[in-house]
Amino acid sequence: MVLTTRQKFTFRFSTPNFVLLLCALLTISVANSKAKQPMLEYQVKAVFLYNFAQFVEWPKQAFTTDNAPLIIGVLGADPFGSYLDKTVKGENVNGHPIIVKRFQKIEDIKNCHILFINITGKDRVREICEQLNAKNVLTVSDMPNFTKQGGIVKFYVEDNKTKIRINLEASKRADLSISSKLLRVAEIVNN
Amino acid sequence: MLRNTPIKQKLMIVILLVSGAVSLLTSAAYFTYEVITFRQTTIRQLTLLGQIIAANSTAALAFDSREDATETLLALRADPNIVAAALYDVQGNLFASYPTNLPDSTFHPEEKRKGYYFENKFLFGFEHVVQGKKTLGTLYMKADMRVLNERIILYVSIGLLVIMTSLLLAFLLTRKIQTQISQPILELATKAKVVSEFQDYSVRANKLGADEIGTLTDAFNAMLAQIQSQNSALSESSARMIAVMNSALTAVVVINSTGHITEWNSHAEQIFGWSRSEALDQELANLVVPHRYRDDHRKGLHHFIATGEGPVLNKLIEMNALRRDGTEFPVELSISPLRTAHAIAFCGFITDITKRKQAEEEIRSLNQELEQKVAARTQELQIANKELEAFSYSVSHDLRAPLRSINGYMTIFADDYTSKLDDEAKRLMTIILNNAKKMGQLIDDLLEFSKLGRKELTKSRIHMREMALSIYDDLKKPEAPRQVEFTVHNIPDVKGDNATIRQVWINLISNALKYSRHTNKAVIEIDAEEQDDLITYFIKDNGAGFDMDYYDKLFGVFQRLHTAKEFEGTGVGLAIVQRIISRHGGKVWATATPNKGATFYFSLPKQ
Repeated sequence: MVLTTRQKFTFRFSTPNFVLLLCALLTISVANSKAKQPMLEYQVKAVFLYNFAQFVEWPKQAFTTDNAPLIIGVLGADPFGSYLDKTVKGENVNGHPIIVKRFQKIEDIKNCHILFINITGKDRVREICEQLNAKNVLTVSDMPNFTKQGGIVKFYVEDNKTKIRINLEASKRADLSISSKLLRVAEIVNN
Repeated sequence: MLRNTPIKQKLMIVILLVSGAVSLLTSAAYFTYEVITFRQTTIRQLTLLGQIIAANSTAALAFDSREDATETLLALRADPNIVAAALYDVQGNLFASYPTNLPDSTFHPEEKRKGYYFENKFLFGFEHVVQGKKTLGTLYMKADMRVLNERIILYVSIGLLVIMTSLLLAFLLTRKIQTQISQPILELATKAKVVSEFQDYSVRANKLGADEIGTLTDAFNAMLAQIQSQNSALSESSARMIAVMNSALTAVVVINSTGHITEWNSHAEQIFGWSRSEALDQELANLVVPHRYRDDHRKGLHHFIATGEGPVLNKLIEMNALRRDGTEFPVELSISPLRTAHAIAFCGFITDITKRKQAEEEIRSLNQELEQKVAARTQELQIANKELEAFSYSVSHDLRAPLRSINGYMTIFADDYTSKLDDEAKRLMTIILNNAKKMGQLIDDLLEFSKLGRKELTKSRIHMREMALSIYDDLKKPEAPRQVEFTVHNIPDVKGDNATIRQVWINLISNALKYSRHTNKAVIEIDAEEQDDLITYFIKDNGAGFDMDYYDKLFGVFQRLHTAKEFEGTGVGLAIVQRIISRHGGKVWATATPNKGATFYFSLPKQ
């Protein structure tokens, strides 16, 4: 959360100091991003994933206890690098600490609330989504036709901006309650 | 500041001020309340709007939907007062704004305070955009408060209108109603003015109501009635006073503390010649006091005013006064200070005593003449008395020689011829001898009495009791014992001529013994009484006494109240006693009852 840190500083320092500091930090950030930082698009998606936790309500049985962790999972290749971990680090939603888990196979998933699916096998998506619906998992992906295949949230890019499409039917099947606020900023489909 | 304003205007001003102040205060309170309420309402409305907008902007911020955020902000169009709004993301970057072309400089999030506040006719609002517990951004709003200013102008206009209207109404009402209060007061004031200017106490104020002013009017009228009756009583009494003063046969003059005349009755007009109108307000000293007394008169007056000492006050004094024509005449004068509550005046009663003085002068000269006559007569009498005494002395002295030769030859005749005479001749001879002896005794007493007038008295202390006792011892006759109870009480000593006082006692005690001779038991008592400057001695017996009808003869020479047969004597003894005592400056007197006894008193001065 480099930028957050920067904001903290900006409140404290007067303009000339602020400019100097900003330049120094940007230099460091750029130097770091060359090696490890994912593309800006995935940084946005990582934040979106985290934000879903704020706007979606899971049924009670999705959590074993009141302070059981809210698990954001990544199935398949991880496009976020360490950025997703950094985004959720120390955060919690309604008493549930947020943690990130990475899964290679669908079978590994036992407990998960938000799952970013990044797999290649197209045919399996519908099957996977149905399985996950039963586990009250908010399935998210940027794969083409994801919502058509029973996925709940799909990221897509329009006018160079990451946007959200939500399959409201699928969310109902997964027994998830998505905030109307979220729905307002999203494109809604029913599949 | 209102002290000299008429009561009408005072009432008007008071009512207008009060109603103006009340409506001003009410309007101000209402205005303040409205402004505060309006500001609070505005803040509440903006807060509500802000919270709604912030709540609706969470997803837009969370999922980077500027369109949605812009659309949400556009809802603010509903409130025309909101001139600008902006949504900043958590990093402080402008995310969306209203209106969309809002200059970036409208808000400076880093400099803005939190909450809602007024600044430069704008209301600024700040709201965090929070989802769950996560802060997603910040909403800023700016509302124009011109509405408030418009409202203030409206309120002020309404307030002024209300105040003007109420003042106008108060003015009109007051003009109508104040006559209810001011009219009776004005009526009273007018009547009071008439009373004080013309001293007309017959005026009465009209009572225009039964309120306090009505009571005041009644009291005022009652006071006037009282003053009127007192005035008439006063003028009557003062007229009576003046009449009394003018009827006085004494001049009555009153002066004030500066010595000027304030009252001058008709008798004063008569005796001084100045009329009342001429005399009033003149200085008394200038008018009637002779020149030589004027300074003393003024000094005396000043002295009394300064110290309260007035030696000539409240007593009759005699002095000379001045008439109008400049002549002086004697007056008798008494001056009394008249103290009133605030001033002092002096009242003088002056009587013209010219006639009295003349009469007194006549009496005085007559008296003087009389005294001169008395003195001349006394001297004549004294000379005559002396001549008489000398005559009687020489007569008695010259009578003694022939009597002695008669006596002597008769004795020889008796010795030589008794045997040759018969009894009748013897008896006649004895009568001749006795009468010759008696005559000798008479002449001796007369001589003694005559000598007393010439004898010088030498005074010394006399022991009266011892003297009385020794005389009694000499006088009692052992050859003829009789029963006598002789008592001398403890009588005081006195200063006097020893020989003559002894003679007094001899005469008085022998008288007492003599006249008590026929009693079975003679009781003789001597005592004395002391007065202030004299001592009265008395001797009391129980003898024959005498008839008080003949008292005036008791102390005369050769005067006797008893016959020689009864009691022998020449009738000179008491005359001698009286002579001696009167030469000592004392007195002799007696009281008696026939056959019961007599008491003889003589008094002597202590010194």
